Amino acid sequence: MRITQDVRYRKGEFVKNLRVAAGALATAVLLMPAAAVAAPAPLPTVEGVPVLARAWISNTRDGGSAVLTVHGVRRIEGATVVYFSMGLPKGAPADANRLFSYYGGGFWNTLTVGNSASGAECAVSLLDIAGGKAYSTLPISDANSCLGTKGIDFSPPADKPNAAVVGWSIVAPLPKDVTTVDVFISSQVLPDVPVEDGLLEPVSQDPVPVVGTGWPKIPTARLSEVVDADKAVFPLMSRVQPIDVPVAEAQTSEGVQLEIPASVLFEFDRSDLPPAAGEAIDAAVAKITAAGTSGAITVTGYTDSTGDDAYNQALSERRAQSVLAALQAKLPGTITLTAEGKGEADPIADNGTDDGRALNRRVTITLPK
Amino acid sequence: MSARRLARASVAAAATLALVGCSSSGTPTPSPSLSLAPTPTPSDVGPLAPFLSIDEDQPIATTTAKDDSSYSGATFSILRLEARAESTLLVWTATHPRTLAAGSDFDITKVDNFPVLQTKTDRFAVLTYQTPTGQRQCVCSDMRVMRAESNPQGALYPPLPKGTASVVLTSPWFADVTVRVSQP
Repeated sequence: MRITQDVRYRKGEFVKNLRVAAGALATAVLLMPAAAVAAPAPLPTVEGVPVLARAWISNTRDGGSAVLTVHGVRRIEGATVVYFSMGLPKGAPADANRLFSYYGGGFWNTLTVGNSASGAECAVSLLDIAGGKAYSTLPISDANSCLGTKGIDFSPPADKPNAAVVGWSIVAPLPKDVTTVDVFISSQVLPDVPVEDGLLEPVSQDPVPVVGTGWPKIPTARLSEVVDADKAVFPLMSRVQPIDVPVAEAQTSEGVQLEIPASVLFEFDRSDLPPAAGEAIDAAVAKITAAGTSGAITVTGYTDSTGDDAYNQALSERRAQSVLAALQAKLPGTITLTAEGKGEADPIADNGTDDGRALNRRVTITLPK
Repeated sequence: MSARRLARASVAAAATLALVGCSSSGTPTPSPSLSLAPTPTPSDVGPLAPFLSIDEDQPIATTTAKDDSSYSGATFSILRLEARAESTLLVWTATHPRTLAAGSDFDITKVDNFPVLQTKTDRFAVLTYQTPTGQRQCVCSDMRVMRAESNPQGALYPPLPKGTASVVLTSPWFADVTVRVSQP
């Protein structure tokens, strides 16, 4: 089998025609011979138990597997309750470790409100991709905790060694018009889960009941302990970088943002635009025009973290001003432009690496919504 | 049986008895501040509930770690790449013959190292968000531990152009790999 792929990277940084022959990569790349993509298995119907989504999850401590099932994403006043269960798959030893915190491969730092002690149970989040936001567990006054099942041994009762048991987490409230979300839990993304109203009933007296014996009691009174609820909502950003055009397009909560690497605009430590930057400016103008833009555009300069703060701030301002001048000359007068510099603020990549610093040195053009 | 399990078994038994005896008049009283969902009648699905009997995803593509990566020796398997209207879902896993503590190539703050979906014209980066402290992190998981056993991870990307049949998955960690895109 031969695979031929032409990949051209952006001009001005480097141009590389990469012809990839499968023979050359045969030792590194193995395409499975039967690489047909199987459709996800249909969800089973269990009388009296909503089964909304399922995924295999893995335990980082002993490598054991479990099946995580979402039973409910329930809207209540001031919050959203996520009900889930975890059970050992068929054939697993009944004494396999089930401590929920160890499932998910390190998920506990993702989409939390910055509490270092939070486990996987504190890192449940609901993704509204269409709305561009993620809703995470609500922070409470104890900065290292969240409202949810935590640190509980998910071992089922001895007489039902393979039963699944139910846990829950309280997440930030969803807007009324959000009817489905993706549930991000234990390192897995479970898509298209419906959002419904009210708590699940009946309530069990067991804090972690076996599935089918009722649902955990949700301590809604503890919502009064929530602090900084707005910090549990994260605006999402997507980024698509054309290979041939040196202008990336990002979707942010503020609208469309065009992004041009400083390396395709400026020489090292300079803020005047060389002729070679013309292609990038023209590409940005084309995108602004194609978007039917009118109104106010903001041009923002950024640097990496190398060097003095004040120097970086001034450099970013001068670079933004140069790009503004170049755009202004090519855009209709109905569009007004403002330039600003943000120095090394808001990095989009790791300033500890060469590649990361290159990404952080950039000029963005924010189009009005 | 431990005291905790004994207590749980007792509570579960009591709950089961309560449920068995539950009639329409025995339905719990709703809290006045909450709207309550229609009440299903749960049954004790007990051992081997049907939703626990699912097949583990099988790899649709596989590649190996680059020698100069801190994940050297690992195998990366792509389990799903699913095109959706608003996003693209990648599910992948990495295994290593010996238990490997966190590689230095990645945590969720090193977003630019996370695998990128590449078509002939565009590179699609994993979705990101900004933390309250100003860090940019990704809608993905940081790989803290690699083991011989599979450890599935999900990550979300921007939507691919309609009809995209395959992409090349690129990363500093592993050799490029072509992955078919499923269209649910």
